[in-house]
Amino acid sequence: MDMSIEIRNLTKNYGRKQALWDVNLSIPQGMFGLLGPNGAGKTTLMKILTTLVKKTKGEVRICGEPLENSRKIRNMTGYLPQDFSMYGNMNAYEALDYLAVLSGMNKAERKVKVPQMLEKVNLLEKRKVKVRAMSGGMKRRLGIAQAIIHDPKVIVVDEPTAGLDPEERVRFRNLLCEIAKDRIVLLSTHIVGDIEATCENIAILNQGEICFQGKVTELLSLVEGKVYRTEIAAADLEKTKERYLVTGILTTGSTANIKIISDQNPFLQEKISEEKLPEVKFSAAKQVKPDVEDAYMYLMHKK
Amino acid sequence: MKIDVGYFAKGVWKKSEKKEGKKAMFGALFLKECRQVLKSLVYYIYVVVFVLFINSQMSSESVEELQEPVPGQTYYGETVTQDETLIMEGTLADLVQDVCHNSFATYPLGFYKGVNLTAEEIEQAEEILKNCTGKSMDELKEEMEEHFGGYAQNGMEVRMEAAASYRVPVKEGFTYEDFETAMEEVCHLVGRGSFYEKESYENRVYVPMTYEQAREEFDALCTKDNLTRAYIRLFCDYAGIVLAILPIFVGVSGALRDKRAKVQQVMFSKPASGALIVVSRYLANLVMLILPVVIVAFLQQRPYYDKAKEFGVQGDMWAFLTVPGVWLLPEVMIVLAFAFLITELTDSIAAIFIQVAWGIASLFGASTLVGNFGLRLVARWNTFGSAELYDTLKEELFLNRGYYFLLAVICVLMTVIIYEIKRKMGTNLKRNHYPFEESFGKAL
Repeated sequence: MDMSIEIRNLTKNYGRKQALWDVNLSIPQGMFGLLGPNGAGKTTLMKILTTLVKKTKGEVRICGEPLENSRKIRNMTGYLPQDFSMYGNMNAYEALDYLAVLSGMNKAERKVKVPQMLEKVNLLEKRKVKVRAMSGGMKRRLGIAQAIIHDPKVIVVDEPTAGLDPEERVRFRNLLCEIAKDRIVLLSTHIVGDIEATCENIAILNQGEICFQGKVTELLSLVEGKVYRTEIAAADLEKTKERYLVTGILTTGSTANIKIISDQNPFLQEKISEEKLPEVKFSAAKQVKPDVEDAYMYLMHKK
Repeated sequence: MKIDVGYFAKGVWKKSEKKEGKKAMFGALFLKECRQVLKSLVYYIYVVVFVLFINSQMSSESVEELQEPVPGQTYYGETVTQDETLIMEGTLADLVQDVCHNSFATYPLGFYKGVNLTAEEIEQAEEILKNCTGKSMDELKEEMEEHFGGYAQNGMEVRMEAAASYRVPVKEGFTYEDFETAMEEVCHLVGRGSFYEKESYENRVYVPMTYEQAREEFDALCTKDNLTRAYIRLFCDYAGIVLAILPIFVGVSGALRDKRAKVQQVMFSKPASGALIVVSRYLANLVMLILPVVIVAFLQQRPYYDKAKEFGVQGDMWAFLTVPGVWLLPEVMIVLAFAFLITELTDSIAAIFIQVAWGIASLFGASTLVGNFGLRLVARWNTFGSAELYDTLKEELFLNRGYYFLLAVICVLMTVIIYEIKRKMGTNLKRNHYPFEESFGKAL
């Protein structure tokens, strides 16, 4: 059984607006992160994969099945939309049971799987809570339960942790990792931390185009040796930002500890150009280990 | 939070079970949709308004007053006359008024359409009247004003009494065949669906009943209608009025539920077909709308069922189901189907306004309160009994109800098609609305 998503030359236009442009992606089994700024086209891609939006051009195959076979695709995919919601007057059990029916499950199956899924997402005790009374985290958990209840091969999760508190976010990420063991979980987010914590394979989408695809280590290698930490006068912060890509700032009194990305050691650079550009004084810039956020920022600005 | 991935790996949800699941899906979804209707406030408002309306209308019908006619009574009720002279006089009275006001009500497709004639056509109509009555239009107008002048007081009842007693006699030697020909000429001028069509004018003129007629009517009530059927027909008349409008609120509310709860994306991403979702939802709403109608009909029927026993007649105990099944079910079906179709098409409450207008037009469009079904949405039968007349009009009623039944099925099918088109078209992310409206024309 082919357990991958193959996207070839995918283009999507909304009238004159181009949401996706010639996207090529291979998504293997396991967690796959799709990173990109707001408006990059992530949700459009997610919706195309879940047959909610028609593609303009290109070819998409999910586990070998062309996207055009929408009924088969819906059978093998589970989708948690960005703003998942259910009828407010249903409680958690009723809502999941209702969506399980729409997923084609009979009574006996639902009787077993609904409580089981609620337990998986820590909602069994809250099964009588009405959807309208649920917190954002509870709704997301209910959303993931409905996405996996019919045992799909592919789960598409759009911005699942936005708006969740840190504890909920960690829980949710762990849950996604667990369910990704024997299936494809496509996680779309603009929160770099989510990708860093869960995905080995990622793609970065910017302005409708894929600007990176590979393993997290490959992404990090793009900025290896280019990330520095240094201390500057807080007053020089704005000028530094104009000159360098600053990915971290910690201000303490009159000094600011900053993390910058630069192709060359900024300390040496400043020494060289000190006479010409004397306005920013760097203390010794120390090269540090890059993280995904640094690499992401580097890619975004390189573009 | 631990996931038992083994559960999935074991393949608990096997292919055969999937098939079974599909079979059970409709039933399960139907029951869930029924439960959803039961949670809706709009539905309870519908039930309360329906019950109050029926009670207020039917409370005037007292089972105690239902007695076997005995000779010597002063009043035995009214009946549609078969007397050709009375039919001619009543119809010509209507024609004089319509020509005077140059305003003719027609219902070509069951809907009201006001017709105004040109000066030339009015002259032709006046000529027809002259041929029928032997009087000029001025004379007829003078007589009419004189008659209505005698009822100078304001008030609906007085005006109705004045209209009911107004008659225009035909000239000597004028036969019913001449009258039929004259009315055909009027129909030619006015167009289809006017009161001057044979079927209409032969069922519009009422006269007081004689003892013999009352006896005959009573016997028919007992033998043909088994009492309960006659009463439930009257119930259907009143219920039909309110059911031409009320279900639209429940229907629109149900059809807009997904949009309100923002669940369209999740619903669309599920394997369940549009047909399954729309049809189960439609049928659930239909059953829940009909349920209180049937319950109220059953409760209303009970005293008449007992009364039938007093007359030594076995009442039809299933009348509360069979009569509304023919009379009211197609009406509720089309109103609900229309609500689903227009709401799915427009994602708005536009259906409410259209349906209210349709219901009112149909209600006031009837030329008579008994029969004259045509293709009217509201089939009137504002009388207790008249089994003989019902027998003659039964076919017309079945045709009417069959038409709406079919129309409802077509509307539901169209709703399914629109639902699937929307699903294929998807959502516009930026504006968070369906580009469907823009591309609907192209898609079709």
